[in-house]
Amino acid sequence: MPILVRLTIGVFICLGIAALFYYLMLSLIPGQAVANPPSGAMAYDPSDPTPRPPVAPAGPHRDVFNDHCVGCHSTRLVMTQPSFPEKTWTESVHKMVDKYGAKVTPEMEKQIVQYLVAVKGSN
Amino acid sequence: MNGFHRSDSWSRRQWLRWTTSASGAALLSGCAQRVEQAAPAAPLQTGPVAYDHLLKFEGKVAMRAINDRPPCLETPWQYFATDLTPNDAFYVRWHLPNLPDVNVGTYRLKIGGHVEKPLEFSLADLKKIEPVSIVAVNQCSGNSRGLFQPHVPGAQWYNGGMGNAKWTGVRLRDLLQKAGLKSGAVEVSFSGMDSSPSSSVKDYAKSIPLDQAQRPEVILAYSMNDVDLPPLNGFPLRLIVPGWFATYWVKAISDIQVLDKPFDGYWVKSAYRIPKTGQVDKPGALAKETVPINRLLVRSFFVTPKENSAVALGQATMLDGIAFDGGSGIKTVEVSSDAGKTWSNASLGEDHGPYSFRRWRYSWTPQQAGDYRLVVRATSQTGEAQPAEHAWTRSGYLRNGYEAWNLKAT
Repeated sequence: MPILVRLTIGVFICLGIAALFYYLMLSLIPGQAVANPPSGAMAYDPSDPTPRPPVAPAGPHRDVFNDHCVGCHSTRLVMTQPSFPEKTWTESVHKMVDKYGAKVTPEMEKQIVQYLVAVKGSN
Repeated sequence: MNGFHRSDSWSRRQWLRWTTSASGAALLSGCAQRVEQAAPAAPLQTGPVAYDHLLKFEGKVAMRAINDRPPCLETPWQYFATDLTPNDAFYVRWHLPNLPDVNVGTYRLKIGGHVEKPLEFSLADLKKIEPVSIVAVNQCSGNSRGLFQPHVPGAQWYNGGMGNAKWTGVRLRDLLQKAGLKSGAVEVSFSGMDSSPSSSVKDYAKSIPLDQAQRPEVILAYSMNDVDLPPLNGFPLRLIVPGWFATYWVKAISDIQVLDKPFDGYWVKSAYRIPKTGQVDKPGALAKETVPINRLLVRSFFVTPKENSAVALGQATMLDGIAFDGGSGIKTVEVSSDAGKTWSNASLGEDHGPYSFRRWRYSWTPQQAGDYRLVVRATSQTGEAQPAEHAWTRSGYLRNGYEAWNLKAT
């Protein structure tokens, strides 16, 4: 193959590999978070300004969550959380029972954790 | 057709070696430079992308909704372009879902406990007393929690869980003097009229030490930026504790108790705790002892131009932002356009008092095209400096490292 063709192919491959590594490294480096995320990400529907709570997404024991959690706070509080491991959700739900008066049995407490892990669980 | 296997001037092995080393060189030089000059635009998270929906509550502009019941609304960043944050953009944070429905005619502020004479005041009574005003920053204890790495549960604020306003009302110490403090008084507690449907949840109540309650700056405010407190910000009356975090600024306050022993209510004893001085929280290794959160730490931010916008190469652009601390006032604000290698002093704007936002301005003329990661830092009058890196706390409190801002010069 002529040298010029090989060179050109080589350059494009290099650029591709470099770009791949660049984005890979960006996701691995624990960089300092900037002041605010892009404001273009905001979603506002002016035709429906009523501050309604969102519908809880489908998941195991959603009914237990709906029956015992949203009496005190909207589903939105859960949906705006990042994903957490099961240990964190277990502690959070237990705090709701222990300190904030959530009236659930230990069995229901486990089910609520299962629901949260299903909709907002990380590894 | 000739393929790679042919031994032309470039054998297959040579070709592989060449492309790998070339991309390796590109990787090392290009990536290192890019990380220094331009951080990623969005916060790095271990979970899914942050939730950014806006809702419009009555009396408020469209605001980032962390929760709708009870309302937990964040100020969009552009509203920090004015020294006083407009009431209709001022952030909102309630703990309990039943917000008070206040009848101004029957509303009474009760003062009791360890006093000579328990008293009651109507709103009209309070407005008859000579008013005092103070401009002070109200910052949620959990402001910036959403930016913590690793994440912590709770209201996922970016940096907009704060605001600056002129508060007008009566001095707390004047009312306490009228009631007459008995000797042995150590703290004063404050209870709000919001409530939970669960009977086992105590009302929202906080306490402050007596010496804090006696500060002339601590007022019971009925007015915010020269109008009645908006309902979402605590109508008819709220506590103002300048220089302290907003957890103490109890809204819709109805009951004040002077105490002869420390308050043991949940919201002070268990919630809103920070590591004792000299101890630190680390993920997996929390501080052994905690104390109630108290004074604001010094912070500074960029406001304009909008982040990720383009500025003209070789021309002066006025950068501006805000800074504040826990009550001594701002001494210097410095800006770096080379990711912290060198710093230049910004000029400070109008001084609204030591508890207020302080605007800073800096004229920046970028000489090279490309992406810039600008950094800002402030030092208070008492010499308190910001740490370069944000520290982590178990509850997502006390974030105050240097803030960065990405701009490009074209």
